[in-house]
Amino acid sequence: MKLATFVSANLGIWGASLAVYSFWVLKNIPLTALGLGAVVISASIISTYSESPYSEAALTALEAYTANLARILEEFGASQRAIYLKDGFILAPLSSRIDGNYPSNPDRMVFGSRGCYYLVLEGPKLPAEGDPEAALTGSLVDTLGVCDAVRVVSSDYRITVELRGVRISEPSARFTAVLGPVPVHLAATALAKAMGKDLVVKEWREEKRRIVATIEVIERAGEG
Amino acid sequence: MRKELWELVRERAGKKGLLNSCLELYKSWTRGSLELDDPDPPSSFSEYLTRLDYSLWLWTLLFLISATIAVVVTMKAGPLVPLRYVLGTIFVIFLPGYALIEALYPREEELEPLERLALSIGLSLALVPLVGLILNYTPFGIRLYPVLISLALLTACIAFIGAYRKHQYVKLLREG
Repeated sequence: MKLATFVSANLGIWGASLAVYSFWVLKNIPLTALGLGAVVISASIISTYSESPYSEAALTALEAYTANLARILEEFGASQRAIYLKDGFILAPLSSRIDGNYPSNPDRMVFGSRGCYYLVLEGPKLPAEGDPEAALTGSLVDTLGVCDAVRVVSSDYRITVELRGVRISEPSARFTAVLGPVPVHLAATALAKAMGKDLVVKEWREEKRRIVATIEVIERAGEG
Repeated sequence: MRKELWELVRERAGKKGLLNSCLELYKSWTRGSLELDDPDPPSSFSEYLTRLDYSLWLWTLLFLISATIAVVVTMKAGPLVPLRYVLGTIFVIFLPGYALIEALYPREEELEPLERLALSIGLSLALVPLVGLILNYTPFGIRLYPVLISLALLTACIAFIGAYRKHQYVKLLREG
């Protein structure tokens, strides 16, 4: 039994007993109100989802998504860190040299500019609104349920993201090398949209079910 | 561009004087055009508590609690009794809610200062009667000293929870 269920069940039983006893035996209205309050809180805790109700379906879809992306990345031999564009696209560099001349709305699978080639992928359309932490909580915790909690600290060019209670399994090494671990990949996609900035996943550290990732803002050519 | 704050102040001080350059930088910071990063944030909770640039709010709150207790205990009559009213009012209708708001919303950017103030007063008005309700069913009853001590303890405990939650963000900043 989960701790929240255990606590709410106890609270409900205790609250109901207190309400009945204080109303019929003690004839005490404030205590009755306290008991009823405990019953209401217990009902609220029980009826609140601890994780997204669509989490299982979302995780299954994500596993297929990551497997497909991993195959494409493998096929193209992409090995460098991807660039997450604010427009929702993800550019996986295919050449060793990269410049800051990224397309705003690429319509081809491979985009080339001045000898730099990128594989153009479309990231998941996550509901990323508000400040970075609110955006990540909304998309990763509430919508997809890939982790239990998110914490974000940011400076002007660097964002540190902590994801706790990560639920999704690791995809292929190629996927992780290019796009980062799945939750970090999703976080970078949502952050790029929420902040309206192009990002790159710089590094990450995994400990049990916790991931701490550093994501950096990059500037397009001509914007610096 | 990243620069040390002192370097920025010195650059501008030559043209506009030290005070004006400091004021200008402060205005840039409040407008959001200048962002300040601490190169050495506290690594532990104890360091967080001893660094006043991070925990000044907590020490101010603890000072106000202590001052209220001291004033209530010592000043029963005399010319300084109005001070007792002022501190007592802050102690009852602001501090418990403020501590709770700091614990619930540890990041500065989550709430505007005005929202923080309004919610602090509102939550204080919600918390204090609950303390009264609980005290009513204890042998101590709703008397001056039990209310004073229980509110002081409650506020201080919530404030420490808030400080710990804020420290978690500072720790993450250091990890990044």
